[in-house]
Amino acid sequence: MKETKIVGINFRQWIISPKNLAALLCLTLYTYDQLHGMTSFARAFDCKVTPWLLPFFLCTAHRFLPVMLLFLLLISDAPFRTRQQAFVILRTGKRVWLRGQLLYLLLVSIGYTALTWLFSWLWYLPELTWEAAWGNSMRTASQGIDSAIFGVYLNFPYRVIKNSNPMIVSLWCCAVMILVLYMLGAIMTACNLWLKKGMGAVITSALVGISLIPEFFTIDPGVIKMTIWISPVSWMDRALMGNSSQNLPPYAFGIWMPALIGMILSAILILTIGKCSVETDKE
Amino acid sequence: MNHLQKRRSSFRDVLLLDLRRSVCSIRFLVGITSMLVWMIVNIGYEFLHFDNALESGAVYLLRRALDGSNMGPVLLVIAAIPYATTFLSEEECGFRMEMEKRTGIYWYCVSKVIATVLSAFLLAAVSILLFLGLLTLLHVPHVLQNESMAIYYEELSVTRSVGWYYGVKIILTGSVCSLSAMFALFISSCIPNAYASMLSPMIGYYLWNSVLNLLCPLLPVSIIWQMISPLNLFFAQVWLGSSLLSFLWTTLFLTLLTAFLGIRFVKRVCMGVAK
Repeated sequence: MKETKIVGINFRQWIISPKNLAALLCLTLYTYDQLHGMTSFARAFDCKVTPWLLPFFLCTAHRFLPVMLLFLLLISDAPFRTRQQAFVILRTGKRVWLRGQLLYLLLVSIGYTALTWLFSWLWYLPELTWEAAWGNSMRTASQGIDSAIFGVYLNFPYRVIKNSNPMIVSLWCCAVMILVLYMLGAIMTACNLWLKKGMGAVITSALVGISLIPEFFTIDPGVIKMTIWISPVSWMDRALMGNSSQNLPPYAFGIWMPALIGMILSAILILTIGKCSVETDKE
Repeated sequence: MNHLQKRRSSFRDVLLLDLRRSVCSIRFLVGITSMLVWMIVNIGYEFLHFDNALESGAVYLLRRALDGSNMGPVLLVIAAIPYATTFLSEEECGFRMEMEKRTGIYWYCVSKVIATVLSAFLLAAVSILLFLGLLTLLHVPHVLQNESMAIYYEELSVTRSVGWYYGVKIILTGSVCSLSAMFALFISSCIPNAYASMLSPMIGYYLWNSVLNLLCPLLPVSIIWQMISPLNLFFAQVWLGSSLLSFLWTTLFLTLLTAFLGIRFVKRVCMGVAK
C-alpha cells in the first residue's frame, strides 16, 4: 500500500527533525514534573497507585495545555510538504499522498495518546499496582485532600470516580483524545492547504487555548461555561462533560463531534486536493 | 568615507528600518491587542463584579493583571508576535541575502536582536499604559485601597508614589517580554519553523520549571530556587527583603539572559553563514 510507505517516510523524518525530538523530550520532562509527586502522596497515605491517572490529568486544562501544544508542534507542518515529498507526489499523485498524510496524522494521534497514558503511570512505577478499581490514592485525593503539598497539582473531581469503572473511563478518555488530536490535525492540514501557510497553527492553537476560559471562570460559569461546546480540550474533561442539567455537552458528544468533524474534513480534503496547490517547502 | 564608516552608516540604516518595521506594523498592533485582552481576562472576576474593581484600586488590579495565574505563560507567546519570526520569513523570501550584501551578516544579526528586544519591551510598556488609561476611563482610582496589601513592590505605591510602582512593573514586564522574544528569535535560528519559534518561550518556561523542580532537592538553600524560579521572575515576585534589591536582581538576571541569547544568536548565524 502506497499510503503506508508515505507514513513510513514521514516517521523516518523524525530522526533528523530536532523539532519533533525536542517536543518528545519536553513531553517526558513535563509529565514527570507534573505527576511524579503522586509517589510521595501514595507513600504518605500508605496506599498504592493504580494506572488510571490520565482522566484526572485531562481534568486540569492549564496543566494539560503544554501537552496539547507539544502535539500541535509535532504536526504544525501538516501536510508536510517537504522537497522530498515533491517526488512522492509525482509518483503517487496528490490524492494517494494526502491519504498517506491523513493516515500518518491518525497514527501520530494514537501514538501520542498512548505515550501520554504511558507517562501517566510510568513515573510512579515503584508505587504502582495493577487493579481494576480506582485505588485508595485517587479516592483519597478526590476527597478534597490538598495533593499540591506533595507536588501533585491536578484536580481530582469526585464526579469522575463516582459510580464509574476506571477502565471504561480511561478508555473513553483515550478515545476522545485520539479523535480530538486527529480532528486538530485535519483542521491544521485544511487551513495550511486552503489558507495562508501558518494559519493552521494559529487556528488550532486558539481552539486549544479556549479550554482555559471555562476553567478560569469556574466560580462564575453562566454563559462563559458554554464555551465548552466549542473547546475540543474540554471535551476530554470527564468532569465537565455529561452535565445535561447545566446545558453542557453529554459524554457521547465528546466522541461523535470530533469523529464527525475529522471524517468530514478528511473527505472534503481528499475530494478537493486535486484543485489545491501543493507547493513544497524548504526542509 | 572608508569601508568601516560605510558599514556603520548602513548598520544605522538597517537598524532604523528594522525598528520601523517592528513597531509600525500590524503585528505590533495585534501584539498590543492580545496583551490587553490577556490582562483583562486575568482580572475577569473583578470586571464581572465591577464594584469590587472600584474598591480594589488600580495598583491591585495591575498586579492581578500581570500575575497571570494559570494563563501567565500565554504572555510569553504574545511577546514573540511583533518581530521574533521575521528572521525566518526574511530567510525564506531571500531578503536576508540582500541585506547581508549591504551590511554584512554580523551587523544584520545585531540589528535583528536590538529590534526584537526593543519591540517586545515597547509592546509591554504600551499595553500596560493603555491598560492604565482604560482603568482611568472607568474611574478606577490610582491608589492601593487596602494598605494591608502593601507587600513586595506594592509598598512603593505607599512609601513613594503610584508612578514608581507602575514604572517598576513596566520595566519588569518589558524585560520578561524582551527575554521571551529573544528566546523565540534564538530558537528560529536552530529550528526553521515559525510555529516552533513562537511557541518556544512557553515550552521553555515549562521546561525551566520542570528542570528546576527536579534540581530543587540539590539546591542548598531555598532562596536560590526562589531567585531563579521562572514563575517568580516572570509573574510572581522574587523577594530579597527590599524592593530595590529584588528589582535589581530581577532586571539584571533577565537582562543578562537576554544578552547571552542575543550573543548566541549572532554567533550561531555568523558561523552558519561562514560554513
